[in-house]
Formats: sequence, structure tokens, C-alpha cells
Amino acid sequence: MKILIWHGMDSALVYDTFTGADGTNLTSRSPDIGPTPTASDWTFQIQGNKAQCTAVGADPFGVVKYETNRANVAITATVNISVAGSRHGIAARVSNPSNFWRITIRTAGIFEIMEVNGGTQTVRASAALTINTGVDYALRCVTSGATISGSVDGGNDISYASATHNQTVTAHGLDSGNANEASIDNLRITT
Amino acid sequence: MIRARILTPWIGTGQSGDPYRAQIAGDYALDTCVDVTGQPVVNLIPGPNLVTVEIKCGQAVYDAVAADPNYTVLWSEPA
Repeated sequence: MKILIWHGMDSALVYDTFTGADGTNLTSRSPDIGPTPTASDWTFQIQGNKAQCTAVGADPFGVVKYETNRANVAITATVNISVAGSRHGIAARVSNPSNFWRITIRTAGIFEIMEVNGGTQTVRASAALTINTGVDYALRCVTSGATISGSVDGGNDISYASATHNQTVTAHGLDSGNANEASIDNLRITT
Repeated sequence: MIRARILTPWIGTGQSGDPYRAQIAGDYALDTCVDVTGQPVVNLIPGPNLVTVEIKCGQAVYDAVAADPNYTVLWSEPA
């Protein structure tokens, strides 16, 4: 009898390359790994094999979430802003569009960790950096207990250590502040 | 590069497009600005309107912040 012992570095709970026909709603298909996501009433579709918010809804924010059954995860995604304006990036610990954490960039030149609590937004940590339209930026977020940390392109590290809001919520995903302003690709959520 | 903890007012309304945020982050070109107080959202904006943030910035920016009567430096050190 042979026994295989595997020491894994991490486990992908979600991996989504957004491969599919243009116009496909993200919530109508399954990612490469993980469950089918759900979304706020904003429309998120595949465009050019990337995720893009294509229509704003009545909910306060545009969020796509994947249930991982893990509150403590690492989330990475590539964000490319095509139109200067709103915040775009990662959503962590999402219970609904009025309660979650935003880890986003803006062409105003800022990377932020923002708490959304009952619809109220509070910037808890920020870093200044150049964000140009048409450029891919690798965002990373780690949720660990009451600490949420983030980085852009492996640097510009920021961390907020009092992130008790939604601390045990286990759905994470994408965040887009407006329609047709940005694309997000290669979403990966690991333990 | 300087790391410092600063008392700053909150600004904003918490609404979309106008989040609550530390005033100093908009007034000065900081490298980073982190809320180290963790004031609950339900208590914003507190009275008195003050929050402690930890910032990283260049020496010239720090000197300007230290001279600004809107802000109080609690401590600073080379980053």
C-alpha cells in the first residue's frame, strides 16, 4: 500500500480567469475553481475574457462575491482601469452590498482599505501611488482575524488592525465603483 | 522617510463619493496613512473630532505637518 503525503503551500478556494463569451453574466457560469458567484444588482459580465461592471444598479455598491467558507484568506486580482473615476478592486468579507471591505485603487493616485458598514464608507488605510489608465495592477489582500492588509504590485503595503466589522464573513470577490471603467482578471482566493 | 503618529480631524459624510477619511491624507502628500484608533463607524464623527493616524512621509512633508496647527504630532521616528 502506498500512502501519499502532500504538504500544500496553499489551496485555491476560488480561481476565475473570466474566460467566456462577451456579455456572459458572471453569476450565470462557474469559475475555473470554486462556486458560482452572486452579485449585487449591478451587472457584471465577461468582456474580453475579463470581468467588467457593465451597468450600475440600485444597490449602494457593485460587488461580486464567492462563498469560500473561510473568513481568513488571501485574495489577488489584476485590475486595469480604462476610465478615470471610481474605485475598483477587491471585495473582502462581503455579507451584502452595504457591508464589506473594499481594497481598491483609483486613478487619483491612491490605494485604500475601506470599511463599508451599513452603507457608510470609511477609509481606514491608504497609500499614495501612481495609477494610470490602461495599465494592469496586481492587487493583493490578506484577511487575518481583525487585520486586513493590502498591497499593489508587491509593494505600497498598508494594513488595518481593527477590522472587526464582518470579521467572520466568508464571501469575497470583486468590487467596482462604476460601470465600464475597469476590468478585473485572474481572481484567486486561497487559504 | 519619517514615521509618525498624528492627531487629525475626520472629514467626509460617509456617503458614496465622500467617505469618512483623515483630513491630513488630503492635505499632505503622504506615502501611507493608517487609522490606528479603530473608532467604530457608529461613533463617527466623534466629539471632539480627532483620530490618531500613523503616517509615513518624507522629511519636508513631516516638517510641514509638524508646523501645521491643525495637526498634533504624538511621536515621530525615522522609518
